[in-house]
Amino acid sequence: MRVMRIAAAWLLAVLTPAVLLAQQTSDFVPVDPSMEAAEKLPAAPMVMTAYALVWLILIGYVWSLRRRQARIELEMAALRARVNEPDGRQARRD
Amino acid sequence: MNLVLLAAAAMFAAAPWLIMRAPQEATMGLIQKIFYFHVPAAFTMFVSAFVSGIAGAMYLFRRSARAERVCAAAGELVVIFGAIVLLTGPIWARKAWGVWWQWDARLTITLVMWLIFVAFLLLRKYGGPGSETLSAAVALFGMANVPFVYWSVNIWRTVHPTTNVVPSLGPGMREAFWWCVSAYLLFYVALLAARMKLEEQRAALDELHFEVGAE
Amino acid sequence: MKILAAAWLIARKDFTIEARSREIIATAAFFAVACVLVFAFSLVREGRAPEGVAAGVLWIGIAFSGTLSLARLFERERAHDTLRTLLLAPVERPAVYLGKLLAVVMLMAAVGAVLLPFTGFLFDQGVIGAAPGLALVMVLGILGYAAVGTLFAAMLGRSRSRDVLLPVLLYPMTVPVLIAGVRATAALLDAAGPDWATARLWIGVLAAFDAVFVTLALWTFEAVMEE
Repeated sequence: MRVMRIAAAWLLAVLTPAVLLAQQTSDFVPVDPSMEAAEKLPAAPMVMTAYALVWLILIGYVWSLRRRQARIELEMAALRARVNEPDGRQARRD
Repeated sequence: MNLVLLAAAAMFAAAPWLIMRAPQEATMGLIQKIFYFHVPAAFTMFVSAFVSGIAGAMYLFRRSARAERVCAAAGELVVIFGAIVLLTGPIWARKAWGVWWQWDARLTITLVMWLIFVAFLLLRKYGGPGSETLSAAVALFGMANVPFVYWSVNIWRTVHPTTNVVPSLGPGMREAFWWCVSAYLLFYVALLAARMKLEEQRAALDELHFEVGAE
Repeated sequence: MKILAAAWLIARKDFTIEARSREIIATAAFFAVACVLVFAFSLVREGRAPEGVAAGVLWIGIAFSGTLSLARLFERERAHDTLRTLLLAPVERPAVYLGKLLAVVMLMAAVGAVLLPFTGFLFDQGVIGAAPGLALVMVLGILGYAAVGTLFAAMLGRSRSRDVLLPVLLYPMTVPVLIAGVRATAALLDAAGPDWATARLWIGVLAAFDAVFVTLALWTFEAVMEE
């Protein structure tokens, strides 16, 4: 659940500038849509979106590493428990 | 390793302060600030591609398990840093050139290299047994391909600001730029170490499975 | 010299099988022709093909049918488990690679020889005037594509989902070949007459790619095929 909340917060941080951006550009219809629109685009939210995206990707990656690691550790603990069972096959080998 | 990761995060969190203080570029204005996140990411990505390729060659010829781990970890990080480059690039392009995507030389090169390493990951994930050797060869071939992709795409298309932008940076810009490069490289080292540790644990887990199975 | 003789023997084995069944050459050539037709239907407007697409269509046909030939050629070895036997033969390992490379190049060149006049005919391009140049570009391009493709197809022989992974690995890796091949072909098919200066530049790129990747594949083949 906590993970979901963090993800939602990050999504919001990225989407807000994007939504602002979209609203500001839909206010007028330029004659030549290619360059003229680009001239009027506000730069600050774009720079902020880029910065937020970098954070999002790096944190997402660290999180995925943690998750994969946790899964391996869990599996390892389960295996170890099976190997060390007192009345298990381990006893026979000794 | 967590310390390095924290230091990298702190450096990167402090970066906007330096970037905002850096003087604004004359023709592109504020949007040029993306440069500070975009170019160091591209730089890190290509460093990672070379690390992965060289480690792949070392694995192929020396069969060192350590080299295999470096190859796998660096190959995955090429995709991560490549994603940063490919997402921040179009935001800049939208403002500077008026389009999201331009078939420009450097963008295309990054895209092709990114695709090669995505294929590398797909091979590792779905190739089944023996795919470590194959993916090491793919990393080596991907690295050898960099000059060719660069050469062919360069003749094909060029609109991107050229590489001589970096040495000609003014004071203030230069510090901010190298600050960001250091932050990215620190991130890179910390993530590479963490990813290698994961691979090590996976190997240990496989060994344990083998032991349990052999009994 | 011994390596070349062994490579020739291995390639001749594939030619003999192919000469008897004609399975790969027939299916790959038909597939390439079908590809060109699909592109013709999606690109032609009001009965005319847009200018300068013929080179691109030609190379898409070569690349797609090339994957098909590679996959079939190695599937045949896998089905009878003969690649292992080949690798156990008392010849140097790179000879096996060279022999397979030779077979793939000849197969793809045969498909290309059908495809080039067909594309020229459908897209109204004079291919006869620049025929020697076009042949050189095609041979160099096919060699570069096959150099990477043969190694990858041989490696993937034992993997799961090899039929999907081959194009996934091969297409991004051979982007330089495709760009150079398409540009050189387009320069030679130029409406104002063959543009030799541009074509020479791209032929240089192709030749360098071939040299580097054939060497690299020969160098790594033994290590990659080790079990």
